[in-house]
Amino acid sequence: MKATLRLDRKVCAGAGLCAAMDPTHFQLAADGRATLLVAELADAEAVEAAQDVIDCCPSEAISLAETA
Amino acid sequence: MTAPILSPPPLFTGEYFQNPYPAFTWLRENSPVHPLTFPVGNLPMWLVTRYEDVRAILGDHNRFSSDAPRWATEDFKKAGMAFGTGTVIEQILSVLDPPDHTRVRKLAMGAFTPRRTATWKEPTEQIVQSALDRMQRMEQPDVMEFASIVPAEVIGRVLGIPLDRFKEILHAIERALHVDPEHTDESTKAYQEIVDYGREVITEKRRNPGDDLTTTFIDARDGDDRLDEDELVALVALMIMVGLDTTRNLIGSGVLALLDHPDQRDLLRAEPQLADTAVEEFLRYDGALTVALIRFTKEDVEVAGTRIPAGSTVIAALQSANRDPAYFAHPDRLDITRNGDARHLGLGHGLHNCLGAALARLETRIAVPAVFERFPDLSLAVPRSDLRYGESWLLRSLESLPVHLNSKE
Repeated sequence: MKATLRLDRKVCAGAGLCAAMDPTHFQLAADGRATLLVAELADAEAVEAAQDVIDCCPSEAISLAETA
Repeated sequence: MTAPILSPPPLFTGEYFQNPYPAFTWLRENSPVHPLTFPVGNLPMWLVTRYEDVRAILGDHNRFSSDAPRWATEDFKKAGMAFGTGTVIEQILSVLDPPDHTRVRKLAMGAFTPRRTATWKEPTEQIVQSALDRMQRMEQPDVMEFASIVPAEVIGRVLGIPLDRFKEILHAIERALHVDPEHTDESTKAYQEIVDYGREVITEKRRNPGDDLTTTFIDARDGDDRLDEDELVALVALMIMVGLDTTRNLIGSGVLALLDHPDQRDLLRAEPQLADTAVEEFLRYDGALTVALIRFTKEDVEVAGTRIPAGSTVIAALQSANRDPAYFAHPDRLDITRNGDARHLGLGHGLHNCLGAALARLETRIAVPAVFERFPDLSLAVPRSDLRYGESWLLRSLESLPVHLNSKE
């Protein structure tokens, strides 16, 4: 399964949890809110790891779109 | 001109507890990564006070762990500084590292998302109004009593338990967090009381399940085996521990901040839609925790050019970061319209950022404006200098906030 990460920067509160959990895909921008470094998730393992981050985010700012 | 202060001001003792901000200013300017001997237990520690360093440490759980049983020194544990030593609280979510942290946090986070929390708006409004009714009838009204009742009743409803014993539990929390190396058994006993209470609640809920968070956690244990029994107890104990004191402090400090800044109080009354940014400003200006939970270095690290060896104890000063002029314009001024400065660290940062943030925000956003809506002429009933904060290394906790509800005539 492949999927793409979506991040709603208007909803992000900049708690920094995603960047701490998964610095490969997330980082904090100068304004303190998260940005995506890589949006594409190549395999099931990456999707599962991303789901962990999504479930732990305090702002519900991250979601997944399945691409194939 | 006053002479520059050459030596660091006293920390974690005396006047520091009443007003830590002058000490933080000195440290940021003169010793941002500051070695000190913690007065309790004479423990060597590092105190970090600049915004960027505090944020970096909290965002780096791979090198700065919160897991005291695993990483703290023996002296630290012996002094009774670790949470809940000898009880299941030793392994609360707040101190877990991944992967256990991920598993437990996922489970608990579902209950505190902004969407789930929004369903608590009406119950919270009712709780606030009835707490204000009670305050109105008090002979010597104390905002801190009001501020205690609101989170106790809200978390009681969320967990589905009557918190008729909340004063007892608040007292147990206070005793648990009071560190005295001569009497560590006292603190352990208090932690055990909180744990026992959690177990009672779970036993009761297993018998009478409800549409509440305790039942959700029990299902995760008994149904899906996503938690072990100790983790379940620790999670319920954690909800009780962190849901009470912290929001109490924030509501109290928010009211006091507006009493201290009548222009901001008037602005909030005139423009109630500012309540959201006002809550963020209360969290920044004088948040519930003076410093973050303690971190332990897992390897040698360098912070702002200072080497901290592996196995060190590090305190990241949240409230110092929140007053860092490099990140906040006029940091000592309350400005409820503040927007565009850096994000405050009043709810922590990184892996262990506050799980209950949305609920704390909701309660404060409702409770603080409601106080001034009900009592527009609220004023202090004691001289400002008589207000005292509890002598806690962790919590910024006003002991009482006596007020006149109406203008004195």
